[in-house]
Amino acid sequence: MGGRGRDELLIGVLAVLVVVLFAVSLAVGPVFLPPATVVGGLFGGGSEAARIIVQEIRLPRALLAVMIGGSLGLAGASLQGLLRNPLAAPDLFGAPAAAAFGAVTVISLGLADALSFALPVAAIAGALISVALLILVAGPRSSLLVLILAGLAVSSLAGAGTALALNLAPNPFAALEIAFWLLGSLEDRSMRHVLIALPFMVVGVGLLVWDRRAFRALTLGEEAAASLGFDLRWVRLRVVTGVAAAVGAGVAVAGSIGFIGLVAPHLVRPLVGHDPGRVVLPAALSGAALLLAADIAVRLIPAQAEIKVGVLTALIGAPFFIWMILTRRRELTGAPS
Amino acid sequence: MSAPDIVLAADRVSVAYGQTRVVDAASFTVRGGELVAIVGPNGAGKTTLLRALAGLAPSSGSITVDGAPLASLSLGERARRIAYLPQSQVFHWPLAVADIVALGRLPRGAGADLSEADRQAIAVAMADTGITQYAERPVTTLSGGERARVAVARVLATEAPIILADEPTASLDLRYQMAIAGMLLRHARAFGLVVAVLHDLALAARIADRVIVMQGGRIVADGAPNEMLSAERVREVFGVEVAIGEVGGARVVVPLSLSEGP
Repeated sequence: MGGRGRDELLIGVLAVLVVVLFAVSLAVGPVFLPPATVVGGLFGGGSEAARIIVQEIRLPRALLAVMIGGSLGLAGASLQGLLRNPLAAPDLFGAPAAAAFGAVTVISLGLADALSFALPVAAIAGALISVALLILVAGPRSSLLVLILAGLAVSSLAGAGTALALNLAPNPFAALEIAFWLLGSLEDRSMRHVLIALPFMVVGVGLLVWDRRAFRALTLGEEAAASLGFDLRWVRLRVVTGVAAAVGAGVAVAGSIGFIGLVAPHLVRPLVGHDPGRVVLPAALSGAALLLAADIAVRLIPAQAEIKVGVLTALIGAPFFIWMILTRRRELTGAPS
Repeated sequence: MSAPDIVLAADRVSVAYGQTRVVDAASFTVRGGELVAIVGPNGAGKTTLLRALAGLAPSSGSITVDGAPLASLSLGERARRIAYLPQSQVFHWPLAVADIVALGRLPRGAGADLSEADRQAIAVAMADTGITQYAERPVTTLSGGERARVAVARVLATEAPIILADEPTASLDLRYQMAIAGMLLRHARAFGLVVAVLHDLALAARIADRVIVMQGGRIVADGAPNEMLSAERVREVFGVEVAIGEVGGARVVVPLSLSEGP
Protein backbone atom coordinates (compact mmCIF):
# COMPACT_ATOMS: atom_id res chain seq x y z
CA MET A 1 0.00 0.00 0.00
CA GLY A 2 1.16 3.54 -0.70
CA GLY A 3 4.05 2.34 -2.84
CA ARG A 4 4.06 5.43 -5.01
CA GLY A 5 6.92 7.19 -3.24
CA ARG A 6 9.08 4.10 -3.47
CA ASP A 7 8.15 3.69 -7.16
CA GLU A 8 9.35 7.20 -7.87
CA LEU A 9 12.65 6.40 -6.20
CA LEU A 10 12.97 3.18 -8.22
CA ILE A 11 12.11 4.96 -11.47
CA GLY A 12 14.62 7.70 -10.62
CA VAL A 13 17.41 5.19 -9.93
CA LEU A 14 16.67 3.28 -13.14
CA ALA A 15 16.57 6.51 -15.14
CA VAL A 16 20.01 7.49 -13.80
CA LEU A 17 21.28 4.01 -14.75
CA VAL A 18 19.95 4.44 -18.29
CA VAL A 19 21.61 7.87 -18.60
CA VAL A 20 24.95 6.48 -17.36
CA LEU A 21 24.80 3.52 -19.74
CA PHE A 22 23.79 5.86 -22.56
CA ALA A 23 26.93 7.95 -21.89
CA VAL A 24 29.09 4.81 -21.77
CA SER A 25 27.55 3.65 -25.04
CA LEU A 26 28.61 6.93 -26.68
CA ALA A 27 32.15 6.47 -25.34
CA VAL A 28 32.68 2.86 -26.47
CA GLY A 29 33.78 1.82 -29.95
CA PRO A 30 36.69 0.67 -32.10
CA VAL A 31 38.11 4.20 -32.06
CA PHE A 32 39.01 5.35 -28.56
CA LEU A 33 37.79 8.85 -27.79
CA PRO A 34 38.46 10.54 -24.44
CA PRO A 35 35.29 11.65 -22.59
CA ALA A 36 35.90 15.34 -23.33
CA THR A 37 36.12 14.59 -27.07
CA VAL A 38 32.89 12.56 -26.91
CA VAL A 39 31.06 15.45 -25.25
CA GLY A 40 32.55 17.88 -27.75
CA GLY A 41 31.60 15.68 -30.70
CA LEU A 42 28.08 15.21 -29.39
CA PHE A 43 27.42 18.94 -29.28
CA GLY A 44 29.10 19.66 -32.60
CA GLY A 45 32.42 20.91 -31.23
CA GLY A 46 35.84 19.31 -31.57
CA SER A 47 37.21 17.66 -34.70
CA GLU A 48 35.08 16.68 -37.70
CA ALA A 49 36.02 13.00 -37.17
CA ALA A 50 34.88 13.05 -33.55
CA ARG A 51 31.65 14.74 -34.53
CA ILE A 52 30.88 12.11 -37.20
CA ILE A 53 31.79 9.19 -34.93
CA VAL A 54 29.69 10.39 -32.00
CA GLN A 55 26.74 12.02 -33.78
CA GLU A 56 26.32 9.75 -36.77
CA ILE A 57 27.61 6.35 -35.61
CA ARG A 58 27.29 6.09 -31.85
CA LEU A 59 24.33 8.36 -31.06
CA PRO A 60 21.80 6.51 -33.29
CA ARG A 61 23.01 3.23 -31.83
CA ALA A 62 22.52 4.41 -28.24
CA LEU A 63 19.16 5.99 -29.04
CA LEU A 64 17.91 2.81 -30.70
CA ALA A 65 19.08 0.75 -27.72
CA VAL A 66 17.01 2.94 -25.38
CA MET A 67 13.98 2.96 -27.70
CA ILE A 68 13.99 -0.74 -28.54
CA GLY A 69 15.00 -1.96 -25.08
CA GLY A 70 12.39 0.30 -23.49
CA SER A 71 9.69 -0.87 -25.90
CA LEU A 72 10.54 -4.52 -25.28
CA GLY A 73 10.43 -4.09 -21.49
CA LEU A 74 7.15 -2.20 -21.74
CA ALA A 75 5.63 -4.72 -24.15
CA GLY A 76 6.72 -7.64 -21.98
CA ALA A 77 5.29 -6.12 -18.80
CA SER A 78 2.02 -5.25 -20.58
CA LEU A 79 1.55 -8.71 -22.10
CA GLN A 80 2.33 -10.25 -18.72
CA GLY A 81 -0.26 -7.98 -17.11
CA LEU A 82 -2.88 -8.77 -19.73
CA LEU A 83 -2.26 -12.52 -19.67
CA ARG A 84 -1.60 -12.55 -15.90
CA ASN A 85 1.52 -14.60 -16.37
CA PRO A 86 5.17 -13.68 -15.81
CA LEU A 87 6.30 -16.04 -18.60
CA ALA A 88 4.43 -14.14 -21.30
CA ALA A 89 6.78 -12.22 -23.57
CA PRO A 90 6.52 -10.78 -27.04
CA ASP A 91 9.23 -13.11 -28.38
CA LEU A 92 7.59 -16.24 -26.97
CA PHE A 93 4.41 -15.63 -28.88
CA GLY A 94 5.68 -14.94 -32.34
CA ALA A 95 5.26 -11.16 -32.72
CA PRO A 96 8.94 -10.49 -33.51
CA ALA A 97 9.11 -13.57 -35.76
CA ALA A 98 6.07 -12.32 -37.66
CA ALA A 99 7.51 -8.80 -37.85
CA ALA A 100 10.73 -10.26 -39.26
CA PHE A 101 8.68 -12.25 -41.78
CA GLY A 102 6.90 -9.08 -42.88
CA ALA A 103 10.17 -7.16 -43.24
CA VAL A 104 12.05 -9.98 -44.97
CA THR A 105 9.23 -10.47 -47.44
CA VAL A 106 9.41 -6.83 -48.44
CA ILE A 107 13.22 -7.02 -48.84
CA SER A 108 13.27 -10.29 -50.77
CA LEU A 109 10.49 -9.26 -53.11
CA GLY A 110 12.66 -6.28 -53.93
CA LEU A 111 9.86 -3.94 -52.90
CA ALA A 112 12.09 -1.93 -50.64
CA ASP A 113 15.63 -1.58 -49.40
CA ALA A 114 16.38 -1.82 -45.71
CA LEU A 115 15.93 1.91 -45.22
CA SER A 116 12.51 2.36 -46.78
CA PHE A 117 9.38 3.29 -44.88
CA ALA A 118 7.63 0.21 -46.32
CA LEU A 119 9.84 -2.03 -44.21
CA PRO A 120 8.62 -0.98 -40.75
CA VAL A 121 5.04 -0.90 -42.04
CA ALA A 122 5.37 -4.51 -43.24
CA ALA A 123 7.09 -5.52 -39.98
CA ILE A 124 4.39 -3.91 -37.85
CA ALA A 125 1.61 -5.44 -39.94
CA GLY A 126 3.28 -8.83 -39.45
CA ALA A 127 3.48 -8.34 -35.68
CA LEU A 128 -0.13 -7.14 -35.46
CA ILE A 129 -1.46 -10.10 -37.40
CA SER A 130 0.56 -12.52 -35.27
CA VAL A 131 -0.79 -11.24 -31.94
CA ALA A 132 -4.35 -11.16 -33.28
CA LEU A 133 -3.87 -14.71 -34.59
CA LEU A 134 -2.51 -15.76 -31.19
CA ILE A 135 -5.56 -14.49 -29.31
CA LEU A 136 -7.85 -15.94 -31.98
CA VAL A 137 -6.24 -19.39 -31.82
CA ALA A 138 -5.81 -19.54 -28.05
CA GLY A 139 -9.16 -17.94 -27.17
CA PRO A 140 -9.75 -15.16 -24.66
CA ARG A 141 -9.69 -17.32 -21.54
CA SER A 142 -7.02 -19.75 -22.56
CA SER A 143 -4.78 -21.65 -20.20
CA LEU A 144 -1.06 -21.02 -20.26
CA LEU A 145 -0.50 -24.31 -22.08
CA VAL A 146 -2.87 -23.44 -24.93
CA LEU A 147 -1.33 -20.00 -25.16
CA ILE A 148 2.19 -21.36 -25.42
CA LEU A 149 1.17 -23.94 -28.01
CA ALA A 150 -0.66 -21.29 -30.04
CA GLY A 151 2.39 -19.01 -29.76
CA LEU A 152 4.63 -21.83 -30.94
CA ALA A 153 2.34 -22.42 -33.90
CA VAL A 154 2.28 -18.72 -34.84
CA SER A 155 6.07 -18.50 -34.42
CA SER A 156 6.58 -21.58 -36.57
CA LEU A 157 4.33 -20.21 -39.27
CA ALA A 158 6.22 -16.90 -39.33
CA GLY A 159 9.52 -18.80 -39.29
CA ALA A 160 8.40 -20.90 -42.23
CA GLY A 161 7.46 -17.74 -44.11
CA THR A 162 10.87 -16.21 -43.38
CA ALA A 163 12.57 -19.41 -44.55
CA LEU A 164 10.56 -19.26 -47.76
CA ALA A 165 11.57 -15.64 -48.31
CA LEU A 166 15.23 -16.62 -47.80
CA ASN A 167 14.74 -19.57 -50.12
CA LEU A 168 13.34 -17.34 -52.84
CA ALA A 169 15.90 -14.56 -52.31
CA PRO A 170 16.97 -13.15 -55.68
CA ASN A 171 20.72 -13.71 -55.06
CA PRO A 172 23.09 -15.09 -52.40
CA PHE A 173 24.07 -11.61 -51.25
CA ALA A 174 20.47 -10.72 -50.54
CA ALA A 175 20.07 -13.99 -48.64
CA LEU A 176 23.17 -13.31 -46.56
CA GLU A 177 22.01 -9.76 -45.87
CA ILE A 178 18.64 -11.06 -44.71
CA ALA A 179 20.24 -13.74 -42.53
CA PHE A 180 22.54 -11.26 -40.81
CA TRP A 181 19.77 -8.74 -40.44
CA LEU A 182 17.65 -11.38 -38.71
CA LEU A 183 20.27 -11.89 -36.01
CA GLY A 184 19.39 -8.53 -34.51
CA SER A 185 21.94 -5.74 -34.31
CA LEU A 186 22.26 -2.03 -33.65
CA GLU A 187 25.51 -1.77 -35.63
CA ASP A 188 25.73 0.79 -38.42
CA ARG A 189 22.31 2.28 -37.85
CA SER A 190 21.70 5.92 -38.69
CA MET A 191 19.42 8.67 -37.44
CA ARG A 192 17.16 7.69 -40.33
CA HIS A 193 16.49 4.37 -38.59
CA VAL A 194 15.69 6.25 -35.41
CA LEU A 195 13.22 8.44 -37.28
CA ILE A 196 11.59 5.47 -39.05
CA ALA A 197 10.97 3.61 -35.79
CA LEU A 198 10.08 6.61 -33.63
CA PRO A 199 6.47 7.36 -34.71
CA PHE A 200 5.40 3.71 -34.41
CA MET A 201 7.07 3.40 -31.03
CA VAL A 202 5.44 6.59 -29.77
CA VAL A 203 2.04 5.19 -30.74
CA GLY A 204 2.86 1.77 -29.26
CA VAL A 205 4.18 3.19 -26.00
CA GLY A 206 1.21 5.55 -25.76
CA LEU A 207 -1.15 2.58 -26.02
CA LEU A 208 0.80 0.44 -23.56
CA VAL A 209 1.04 2.92 -20.68
CA TRP A 210 -2.76 3.32 -20.81
CA ASP A 211 -3.94 0.14 -19.10
CA ARG A 212 -1.85 -0.10 -15.95
CA ARG A 213 -4.95 0.13 -13.73
CA ALA A 214 -6.62 -2.62 -15.75
CA PHE A 215 -3.57 -4.86 -15.27
CA ARG A 216 -3.90 -4.39 -11.51
CA ALA A 217 -7.60 -5.25 -11.64
CA LEU A 218 -6.81 -8.34 -13.75
CA THR A 219 -4.95 -9.73 -10.74
CA LEU A 220 -8.44 -10.82 -9.63
CA GLY A 221 -9.27 -12.50 -12.96
CA GLU A 222 -11.28 -11.25 -15.92
CA GLU A 223 -14.74 -11.41 -14.31
CA ALA A 224 -13.75 -9.36 -11.28
CA ALA A 225 -11.75 -6.92 -13.42
CA ALA A 226 -14.80 -6.37 -15.65
CA SER A 227 -16.96 -5.84 -12.56
CA LEU A 228 -14.51 -3.12 -11.43
CA GLY A 229 -15.43 -1.13 -14.53
CA PHE A 230 -12.82 -2.16 -17.11
CA ASP A 231 -13.84 -2.96 -20.68
CA LEU A 232 -11.47 -5.82 -21.34
CA ARG A 233 -12.16 -6.02 -25.08
CA TRP A 234 -10.63 -2.56 -25.44
CA VAL A 235 -7.80 -3.35 -23.05
CA ARG A 236 -6.93 -6.42 -25.14
CA LEU A 237 -7.10 -4.45 -28.38
CA ARG A 238 -4.90 -1.65 -27.03
CA VAL A 239 -2.26 -4.03 -25.70
CA VAL A 240 -2.19 -6.16 -28.85
CA THR A 241 -1.90 -3.08 -31.07
CA GLY A 242 0.61 -1.40 -28.77
CA VAL A 243 2.87 -4.47 -28.59
CA ALA A 244 2.71 -4.92 -32.36
CA ALA A 245 3.56 -1.27 -33.07
CA ALA A 246 6.34 -0.93 -30.49
CA VAL A 247 7.95 -4.35 -31.02
CA GLY A 248 7.35 -4.40 -34.77
CA ALA A 249 9.08 -1.03 -35.19
CA GLY A 250 12.06 -2.31 -33.23
CA VAL A 251 12.33 -5.46 -35.34
CA ALA A 252 11.97 -3.35 -38.47
CA VAL A 253 15.14 -1.36 -37.78
CA ALA A 254 17.23 -3.80 -35.72
CA GLY A 255 16.06 -7.35 -36.47
CA SER A 256 14.98 -9.72 -33.70
CA ILE A 257 16.38 -8.98 -30.26
CA GLY A 258 15.01 -11.62 -27.91
CA PHE A 259 14.28 -12.09 -24.22
CA ILE A 260 14.55 -8.44 -23.10
CA GLY A 261 10.74 -8.39 -22.83
CA LEU A 262 10.82 -11.43 -20.56
CA VAL A 263 13.79 -10.53 -18.37
CA ALA A 264 13.31 -6.77 -17.87
CA PRO A 265 9.95 -6.93 -16.01
CA HIS A 266 11.13 -9.93 -14.00
CA LEU A 267 14.12 -8.02 -12.59
CA VAL A 268 12.04 -5.13 -11.23
CA ARG A 269 8.83 -6.97 -10.27
CA PRO A 270 9.86 -7.76 -6.66
CA LEU A 271 10.71 -4.06 -6.20
CA VAL A 272 7.11 -2.98 -6.86
CA GLY A 273 5.42 -5.62 -4.71
CA HIS A 274 4.65 -7.78 -7.80
CA ASP A 275 2.04 -5.21 -8.85
CA PRO A 276 1.37 -5.75 -12.59
CA GLY A 277 0.46 -2.07 -13.06
CA ARG A 278 3.31 -0.51 -11.10
CA VAL A 279 5.85 -2.74 -12.87
CA VAL A 280 5.17 -1.27 -16.32
CA LEU A 281 7.32 1.91 -16.23
CA PRO A 282 10.25 0.39 -14.29
CA ALA A 283 10.20 -2.55 -16.76
CA ALA A 284 10.57 -0.13 -19.68
CA LEU A 285 13.60 1.52 -18.03
CA SER A 286 15.09 -1.82 -17.07
CA GLY A 287 14.67 -2.98 -20.69
CA ALA A 288 16.44 0.12 -21.96
CA ALA A 289 19.29 -0.41 -19.49
CA LEU A 290 19.59 -4.11 -20.42
CA LEU A 291 19.81 -3.47 -24.16
CA LEU A 292 22.26 -0.58 -23.69
CA ALA A 293 24.43 -2.85 -21.53
CA ALA A 294 24.22 -5.72 -24.03
CA ASP A 295 25.08 -3.41 -26.91
CA ILE A 296 28.08 -2.06 -24.96
CA ALA A 297 29.15 -5.63 -24.18
CA VAL A 298 29.17 -6.76 -27.82
CA ARG A 299 31.59 -3.92 -28.59
CA LEU A 300 33.90 -4.88 -25.71
CA ILE A 301 33.90 -8.66 -26.23
CA PRO A 302 37.01 -9.46 -28.27
CA ALA A 303 35.92 -11.42 -31.35
CA GLN A 304 36.85 -11.56 -35.01
CA ALA A 305 33.50 -10.17 -36.06
CA GLU A 306 31.33 -8.15 -33.67
CA ILE A 307 28.83 -10.45 -31.98
CA LYS A 308 25.29 -9.36 -32.90
CA VAL A 309 23.43 -8.01 -29.88
CA GLY A 310 20.43 -10.26 -30.66
CA VAL A 311 22.72 -13.27 -30.38
CA LEU A 312 24.03 -12.08 -27.00
CA THR A 313 20.57 -11.39 -25.51
CA ALA A 314 19.44 -14.84 -26.66
CA LEU A 315 22.55 -16.49 -25.20
CA ILE A 316 21.89 -14.87 -21.83
CA GLY A 317 18.09 -14.75 -22.01
CA ALA A 318 17.42 -18.38 -22.91
CA PRO A 319 19.23 -19.85 -19.87
CA PHE A 320 17.47 -17.21 -17.75
CA PHE A 321 14.14 -18.40 -19.14
CA ILE A 322 15.08 -22.00 -18.29
CA TRP A 323 15.90 -20.87 -14.76
CA MET A 324 12.54 -19.07 -14.48
CA ILE A 325 10.70 -22.22 -15.52
CA LEU A 326 12.69 -24.29 -13.01
CA THR A 327 11.85 -21.95 -10.14
CA ARG A 328 8.16 -21.85 -11.10
CA ARG A 329 7.86 -25.49 -12.09
CA ARG A 330 5.68 -26.49 -9.18
CA GLU A 331 2.95 -23.94 -9.84
CA LEU A 332 3.22 -24.40 -13.61
CA THR A 333 2.57 -28.13 -13.48
CA GLY A 334 0.42 -28.25 -10.35
CA ALA A 335 -2.18 -25.54 -10.33
CA PRO A 336 -4.65 -25.05 -13.16
CA SER A 337 -4.01 -21.70 -14.78
CA MET B 1 -32.72 2.94 11.13
CA SER B 2 -34.52 3.40 7.84
CA ALA B 3 -33.77 1.01 5.00
CA PRO B 4 -31.18 2.14 2.44
CA ASP B 5 -32.83 3.80 -0.51
CA ILE B 6 -31.98 1.57 -3.46
CA VAL B 7 -33.86 -0.85 -5.71
CA LEU B 8 -32.50 -3.55 -8.03
CA ALA B 9 -35.12 -4.87 -10.42
CA ALA B 10 -35.02 -7.60 -13.06
CA ASP B 11 -37.86 -7.90 -15.56
CA ARG B 12 -38.04 -10.99 -17.83
CA VAL B 13 -34.23 -11.29 -17.90
CA SER B 14 -33.01 -14.04 -20.21
CA VAL B 15 -29.48 -15.17 -21.03
CA ALA B 16 -28.83 -17.49 -23.96
CA TYR B 17 -25.61 -19.21 -24.98
CA GLY B 18 -26.20 -20.17 -28.59
CA GLN B 19 -29.50 -22.05 -28.68
CA THR B 20 -29.52 -22.81 -24.96
CA ARG B 21 -31.45 -20.51 -22.67
CA VAL B 22 -29.47 -20.61 -19.44
CA VAL B 23 -31.70 -18.04 -17.73
CA ASP B 24 -35.29 -17.84 -18.88
CA ALA B 25 -37.44 -14.77 -18.18
CA ALA B 26 -36.37 -14.15 -14.59
CA SER B 27 -38.27 -11.34 -12.87
CA PHE B 28 -37.86 -10.08 -9.31
CA THR B 29 -37.19 -6.94 -7.31
CA VAL B 30 -34.79 -6.48 -4.42
CA ARG B 31 -35.16 -3.44 -2.19
CA GLY B 32 -32.72 -1.62 0.04
CA GLY B 33 -32.05 -3.43 3.32
CA GLU B 34 -32.81 -6.88 1.90
CA LEU B 35 -30.56 -9.92 1.64
CA VAL B 36 -31.92 -12.27 -1.01
CA ALA B 37 -30.55 -15.78 -1.49
CA ILE B 38 -30.69 -17.61 -4.82
CA VAL B 39 -30.76 -21.39 -4.39
CA GLY B 40 -31.17 -24.28 -6.79
CA PRO B 41 -29.39 -27.34 -8.13
CA ASN B 42 -26.18 -27.17 -10.16
CA GLY B 43 -26.80 -25.87 -13.65
CA ALA B 44 -30.02 -24.05 -12.68
CA GLY B 45 -28.61 -20.75 -14.00
CA LYS B 46 -27.92 -19.09 -10.63
CA THR B 47 -24.41 -17.88 -11.46
CA THR B 48 -25.45 -16.75 -14.93
CA LEU B 49 -28.33 -14.74 -13.50
CA LEU B 50 -25.96 -13.12 -11.01
CA ARG B 51 -23.48 -12.31 -13.81
CA ALA B 52 -26.29 -10.76 -15.86
CA LEU B 53 -27.28 -8.59 -12.87
CA ALA B 54 -23.63 -7.47 -12.63
CA GLY B 55 -23.61 -6.60 -16.33
CA LEU B 56 -21.06 -9.34 -17.06
CA ALA B 57 -23.29 -11.56 -19.19
CA PRO B 58 -25.23 -10.17 -22.15
CA SER B 59 -28.94 -10.49 -21.37
CA SER B 60 -32.30 -9.58 -22.83
CA GLY B 61 -35.14 -8.12 -20.80
CA SER B 62 -34.51 -5.26 -18.41
CA ILE B 63 -32.30 -4.80 -15.36
CA THR B 64 -32.62 -1.50 -13.54
CA VAL B 65 -30.88 0.13 -10.59
CA ASP B 66 -33.13 2.76 -9.01
CA GLY B 67 -35.13 2.80 -12.23
CA ALA B 68 -32.09 3.43 -14.45
CA PRO B 69 -31.36 0.66 -16.96
CA LEU B 70 -28.08 -1.10 -16.16
CA ALA B 71 -26.96 -0.61 -19.77
CA SER B 72 -27.34 3.18 -19.45
CA LEU B 73 -24.76 3.36 -16.66
CA SER B 74 -21.14 3.96 -17.57
CA LEU B 75 -18.81 1.10 -16.61
CA GLY B 76 -17.33 3.19 -13.82
CA GLU B 77 -20.73 4.18 -12.47
CA ARG B 78 -21.87 0.55 -12.61
CA ALA B 79 -18.76 -0.52 -10.69
CA ARG B 80 -19.41 2.11 -8.00
CA ARG B 81 -22.98 0.84 -7.51
CA ILE B 82 -22.56 -2.91 -7.95
CA ALA B 83 -19.76 -5.01 -6.46
CA TYR B 84 -19.44 -8.56 -7.75
CA LEU B 85 -17.81 -11.43 -5.88
CA PRO B 86 -17.01 -14.28 -8.28
CA GLN B 87 -17.34 -17.91 -7.31
CA SER B 88 -13.66 -18.78 -7.44
CA GLN B 89 -11.14 -16.53 -5.76
CA VAL B 90 -8.13 -16.33 -8.04
CA PHE B 91 -5.14 -14.12 -7.37
CA HIS B 92 -2.74 -14.17 -10.29
CA TRP B 93 0.08 -12.17 -8.68
CA PRO B 94 1.48 -12.48 -5.15
CA LEU B 95 0.34 -8.99 -4.10
CA ALA B 96 0.21 -8.09 -0.42
CA VAL B 97 -3.26 -8.63 1.08
CA ALA B 98 -3.73 -4.88 1.67
CA ASP B 99 -2.95 -4.23 -2.01
CA ILE B 100 -5.56 -6.80 -3.09
CA VAL B 101 -8.20 -5.17 -0.88
CA ALA B 102 -7.13 -1.79 -2.34
CA LEU B 103 -8.15 -3.04 -5.80
CA GLY B 104 -11.73 -2.58 -4.60
CA ARG B 105 -11.04 1.16 -4.66
CA LEU B 106 -10.22 1.22 -8.41
CA PRO B 107 -13.77 2.29 -9.38
CA ARG B 108 -13.34 5.26 -7.06
CA GLY B 109 -10.27 6.42 -8.91
CA ALA B 110 -7.61 5.01 -6.61
CA GLY B 111 -4.29 4.36 -8.33
CA ALA B 112 -1.04 3.43 -6.66
CA ASP B 113 -1.76 6.44 -4.43
CA LEU B 114 -4.58 6.12 -1.91
CA SER B 115 -6.72 8.90 -0.49
CA GLU B 116 -7.67 9.06 3.19
CA ALA B 117 -11.15 7.74 2.27
CA ASP B 118 -9.52 4.83 0.42
CA ARG B 119 -7.32 3.94 3.38
CA GLN B 120 -10.29 4.16 5.74
CA ALA B 121 -12.47 1.87 3.59
CA ILE B 122 -9.63 -0.65 3.20
CA ALA B 123 -8.90 -0.69 6.94
CA VAL B 124 -12.59 -1.17 7.83
CA ALA B 125 -13.03 -3.95 5.26
CA MET B 126 -9.95 -5.78 6.53
CA ALA B 127 -10.98 -5.41 10.15
CA ASP B 128 -14.54 -6.63 9.39
CA THR B 129 -13.24 -9.75 7.66
CA GLY B 130 -10.56 -10.41 10.27
CA ILE B 131 -7.60 -10.22 7.90
CA THR B 132 -5.83 -7.14 9.28
CA GLN B 133 -2.98 -9.27 10.62
CA TYR B 134 -2.26 -10.56 7.10
CA ALA B 135 -2.08 -7.05 5.55
CA GLU B 136 1.55 -7.32 4.43
CA ARG B 137 1.53 -11.06 3.54
CA PRO B 138 1.50 -12.12 -0.14
CA VAL B 139 -2.06 -13.25 -0.81
CA THR B 140 -0.82 -16.43 -2.50
CA THR B 141 0.60 -17.69 0.80
CA LEU B 142 -2.82 -17.70 2.52
CA SER B 143 -5.10 -20.71 3.00
CA GLY B 144 -8.30 -21.12 0.98
CA GLY B 145 -10.49 -19.77 3.78
CA GLU B 146 -8.23 -16.77 4.32
CA ARG B 147 -8.24 -16.01 0.61
CA ALA B 148 -12.04 -16.12 0.56
CA ARG B 149 -12.11 -13.50 3.32
CA VAL B 150 -9.64 -11.33 1.35
CA ALA B 151 -11.98 -11.53 -1.65
CA VAL B 152 -14.93 -10.46 0.52
CA ALA B 153 -12.88 -7.61 1.98
CA ARG B 154 -12.05 -6.43 -1.56
CA VAL B 155 -15.78 -6.33 -2.35
CA LEU B 156 -16.64 -4.49 0.90
CA ALA B 157 -13.88 -1.93 0.26
CA THR B 158 -15.64 -0.93 -2.97
CA GLU B 159 -18.41 0.60 -0.81
CA ALA B 160 -20.92 -0.20 -3.54
CA PRO B 161 -24.49 -0.33 -2.18
CA ILE B 162 -25.30 -3.49 -4.15
CA ILE B 163 -23.28 -6.64 -3.51
CA LEU B 164 -23.75 -9.65 -5.78
CA ALA B 165 -21.99 -12.62 -4.21
CA ASP B 166 -21.57 -16.03 -5.79
CA GLU B 167 -21.23 -18.57 -2.98
CA PRO B 168 -19.47 -16.21 -0.59
CA THR B 169 -19.25 -18.84 2.15
CA ALA B 170 -17.99 -21.78 0.10
CA SER B 171 -14.60 -23.05 1.37
CA LEU B 172 -15.03 -21.29 4.71
CA ASP B 173 -15.14 -23.01 8.07
CA LEU B 174 -18.24 -22.64 10.23
CA ARG B 175 -16.97 -19.65 12.17
CA TYR B 176 -16.17 -17.60 9.08
CA GLN B 177 -19.29 -18.80 7.24
CA MET B 178 -21.29 -17.12 9.96
CA ALA B 179 -18.95 -14.13 10.11
CA ILE B 180 -19.17 -13.49 6.35
CA ALA B 181 -22.91 -14.11 6.32
CA GLY B 182 -23.33 -11.67 9.21
CA MET B 183 -21.21 -9.13 7.38
CA LEU B 184 -23.33 -9.36 4.23
CA LEU B 185 -26.48 -9.03 6.32
CA ARG B 186 -25.09 -5.94 8.07
CA HIS B 187 -24.15 -4.47 4.70
CA ALA B 188 -27.69 -5.01 3.41
CA ARG B 189 -29.28 -3.49 6.50
CA ALA B 190 -27.05 -0.43 6.68
CA PHE B 191 -25.76 0.32 3.19
CA GLY B 192 -27.78 -1.28 0.41
CA LEU B 193 -28.78 -4.76 -0.65
CA VAL B 194 -27.21 -8.16 -1.19
CA VAL B 195 -28.05 -10.93 -3.65
CA ALA B 196 -26.12 -14.10 -2.87
CA VAL B 197 -26.07 -17.50 -4.54
CA LEU B 198 -25.99 -20.02 -1.70
CA HIS B 199 -25.71 -23.80 -1.72
CA ASP B 200 -26.28 -24.24 1.99
CA LEU B 201 -30.07 -24.22 2.34
CA ALA B 202 -29.97 -23.94 6.13
CA LEU B 203 -27.69 -20.91 5.87
CA ALA B 204 -30.02 -19.40 3.28
CA ALA B 205 -32.94 -19.96 5.63
CA ARG B 206 -30.97 -18.50 8.50
CA ILE B 207 -29.81 -15.22 6.94
CA ALA B 208 -31.96 -14.41 3.91
CA ASP B 209 -35.00 -12.17 3.98
CA ARG B 210 -36.18 -13.90 0.83
CA VAL B 211 -35.20 -16.99 -1.08
CA ILE B 212 -35.40 -17.27 -4.86
CA VAL B 213 -35.51 -20.89 -6.05
CA MET B 214 -34.20 -21.59 -9.56
CA GLN B 215 -34.56 -24.72 -11.65
CA GLY B 216 -33.70 -25.20 -15.32
CA GLY B 217 -33.06 -21.48 -15.85
CA ARG B 218 -36.42 -20.40 -14.44
CA ILE B 219 -37.40 -18.89 -11.13
CA VAL B 220 -39.81 -21.48 -9.74
CA ALA B 221 -40.45 -19.82 -6.40
CA ASP B 222 -39.71 -16.57 -4.63
CA GLY B 223 -40.73 -15.86 -1.06
CA ALA B 224 -39.98 -16.02 2.64
CA PRO B 225 -37.37 -18.67 3.54
CA ASN B 226 -39.76 -20.72 5.68
CA GLU B 227 -42.26 -21.03 2.82
CA MET B 228 -39.61 -21.70 0.18
CA LEU B 229 -37.63 -24.33 2.02
CA SER B 230 -40.24 -27.02 2.62
CA ALA B 231 -39.47 -30.73 2.35
CA GLU B 232 -41.79 -30.95 -0.68
CA ARG B 233 -40.07 -28.09 -2.50
CA VAL B 234 -36.58 -29.46 -1.87
CA ARG B 235 -37.64 -32.91 -3.12
CA GLU B 236 -39.20 -31.32 -6.21
CA VAL B 237 -36.24 -29.07 -7.08
CA PHE B 238 -33.21 -31.01 -5.87
CA GLY B 239 -34.61 -34.56 -6.04
CA VAL B 240 -33.49 -35.27 -2.49
CA GLU B 241 -35.56 -36.34 0.52
CA VAL B 242 -34.90 -34.03 3.44
CA ALA B 243 -36.15 -33.55 6.95
CA ILE B 244 -36.73 -29.97 7.93
CA GLY B 245 -37.02 -28.90 11.51
CA GLU B 246 -36.23 -26.15 13.90
CA VAL B 247 -33.48 -26.05 16.47
CA GLY B 248 -33.33 -23.05 18.77
CA GLY B 249 -35.41 -20.98 16.38
CA ALA B 250 -33.16 -21.71 13.38
CA ARG B 251 -34.30 -23.84 10.47
CA VAL B 252 -32.26 -26.98 9.78
CA VAL B 253 -32.26 -28.99 6.55
CA VAL B 254 -31.06 -32.59 6.85
CA PRO B 255 -30.77 -34.77 3.73
CA LEU B 256 -32.23 -38.26 4.29
CA SER B 257 -31.84 -40.23 1.06
CA LEU B 258 -28.30 -41.26 0.22
CA SER B 259 -28.38 -42.11 -3.46
CA GLU B 260 -26.32 -45.09 -4.60
CA GLY B 261 -25.11 -43.34 -7.72
CA PRO B 262 -26.78 -41.67 -10.65
